[in-house]
Amino acid sequence: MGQTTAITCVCALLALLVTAPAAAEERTVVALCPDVGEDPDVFVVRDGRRSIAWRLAAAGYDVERVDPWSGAPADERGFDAVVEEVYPALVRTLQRRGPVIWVGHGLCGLLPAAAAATGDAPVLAGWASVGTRMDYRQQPPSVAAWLDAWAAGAAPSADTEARTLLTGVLTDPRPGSSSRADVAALFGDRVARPPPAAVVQDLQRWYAEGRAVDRRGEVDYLLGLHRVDGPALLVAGCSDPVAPPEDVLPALDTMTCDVRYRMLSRINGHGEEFGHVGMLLSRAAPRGLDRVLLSWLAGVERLP
Amino acid sequence: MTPRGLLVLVALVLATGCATTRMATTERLDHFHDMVTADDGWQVALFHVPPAVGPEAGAHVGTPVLLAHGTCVNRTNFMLEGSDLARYLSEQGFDVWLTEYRGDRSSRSPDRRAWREADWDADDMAYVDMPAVLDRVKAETGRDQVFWIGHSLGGVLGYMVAQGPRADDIAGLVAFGSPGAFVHPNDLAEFTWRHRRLLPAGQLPTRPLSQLLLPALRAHPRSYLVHAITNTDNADPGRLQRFVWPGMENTGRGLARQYLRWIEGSHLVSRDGSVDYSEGLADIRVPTLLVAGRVDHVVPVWTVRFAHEHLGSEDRTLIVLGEGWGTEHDYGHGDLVVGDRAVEEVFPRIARWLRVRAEEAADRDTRARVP
Repeated sequence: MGQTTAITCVCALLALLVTAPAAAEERTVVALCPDVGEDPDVFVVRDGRRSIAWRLAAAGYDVERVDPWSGAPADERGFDAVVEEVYPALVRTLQRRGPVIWVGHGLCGLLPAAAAATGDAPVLAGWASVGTRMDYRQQPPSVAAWLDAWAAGAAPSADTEARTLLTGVLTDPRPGSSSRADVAALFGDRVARPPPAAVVQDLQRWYAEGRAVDRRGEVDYLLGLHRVDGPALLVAGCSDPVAPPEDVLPALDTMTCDVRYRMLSRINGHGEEFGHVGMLLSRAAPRGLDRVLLSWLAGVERLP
Repeated sequence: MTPRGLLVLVALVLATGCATTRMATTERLDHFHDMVTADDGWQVALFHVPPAVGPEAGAHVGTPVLLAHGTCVNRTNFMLEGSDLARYLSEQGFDVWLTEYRGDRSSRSPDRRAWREADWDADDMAYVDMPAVLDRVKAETGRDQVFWIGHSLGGVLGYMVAQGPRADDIAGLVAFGSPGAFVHPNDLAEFTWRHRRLLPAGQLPTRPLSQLLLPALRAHPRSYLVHAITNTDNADPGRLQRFVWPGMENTGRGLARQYLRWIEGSHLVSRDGSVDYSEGLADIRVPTLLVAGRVDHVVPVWTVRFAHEHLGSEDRTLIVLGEGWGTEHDYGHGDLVVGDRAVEEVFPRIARWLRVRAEEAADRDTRARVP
């Protein structure tokens, strides 16, 4: 176990992908963590626009992309290992440079709550979950098909991938929005990668049981939501089947810290009905996620 | 006065005129059946589309189904060319009845004052108009129970009837985009609440306003305003434009006030606040099918899920219409029933659900008659 932890820490450190050079004075570190099945590049590529990582760096943050999914722990022990070993190691390493704000896409957005549920969570300066499901009682058919395909050892069909990850990005886009074909190409070329099989099994088990629980059946990760210190931001894409708003909102009823919720949607002035990948890669993302995240971060910076 | 000012004045005068115009020719409308008189003297129109197939098509043939439309619209909600649910269900063998509400152009008020003050609300509709309508449908069909299909407000009225004194009249309930409560209000709901002081006296002129906005709708068919109500990626703007003239209605001030109260308190409550219909969902026992649109901003999915989670029915189903859930596009609010693909993607699921429950009900009846 000790050896595994050491290997894990080394892997985690190696996985730190520097986006902006470290500054002399202590700056807030924004850790950008991708969903399973995504490369950390998801934060540095975007269809025809500057990426979210670029915008955060331009706003003065010390931006890091982290990758907890590639390596032996996630491959062998799935989500439990990422919560217990990889995530704390990543955060504590980054904390040497300054206060850390964790921004997790998809399953990565659950890590702070999951770590809090285990009772050994590093203290964050803030936490933003972006497209992170907080309720596993309902499973959209496309998500089931996506997981089933990976569990069977095959990549999901293009149709399944589109229905799961590319919703909201229209085939016939409005001005200022991306086309489905462009985002699909960008995602396929730069972002998509096979998720760890053990994590896929965990997700299937969570949906089957209706709760995100560790393999021993002892820790309900979502119970950590009420233990997380704020400030926190929950972002949901209106058209996202991976984490639809109705499966993010239950967290609001549980969390007791300073938590904000924002749904990325055309009705809220964000340009389009964002889906899971579109909220990061779409040409409309600067009006959506970037605006919401930067505004929240500025508020966090002002906190005493 | 400038020509533009004159134009605005004329438009306003026309709008005011439209706002108070009643339909004098209800009897000439397609499928009109009769006027039904409620206990307080209001008359509402009842329409009928009989089954288009014979009894050989199944035990469900002839099962009465009552379609209840949403706010600001009328029965055209379910009879628009290209997405005609009434006709679809009739072709599947159901005996389809449609009702309009007090305040719709087809209705008759007991006196001018009642019409002018427009003080009616959902309590009047559910507990004064609908009992009369249900009595008439039961009398015409000889059946004890009716399946209720409602869109938006129509579904809320279904919740209210199915938990009230006439619950035994309802065999099953299908609700499209009908909230169980206005929990977690979105920006649209908060915008509505912030502008509550703009509520005019009398009727809300939603019909003339929509007609005035029609040119803008033609010029910008994918505008924010339209998108808030219907996902125009999922409904041909041309068809929506053709809906405006026959389909839009004004809204009663009392109903608008009740909506504001529901948004403010999140739960659906009676006029005097003494009855909580959101809590009353637990008293509903009939089979229930709820349909929610993935990008419905008027009644977001989580407000429909509230209903699903709080219903007392053992047989209850929630369908989300969105790309991740198997449809071609994400559905909004209006397009749940008038969407371009509703005939292929939505109506068959409704008909299947109804048929199974209608056949079960027929079986129960048969067994009950055997001595």
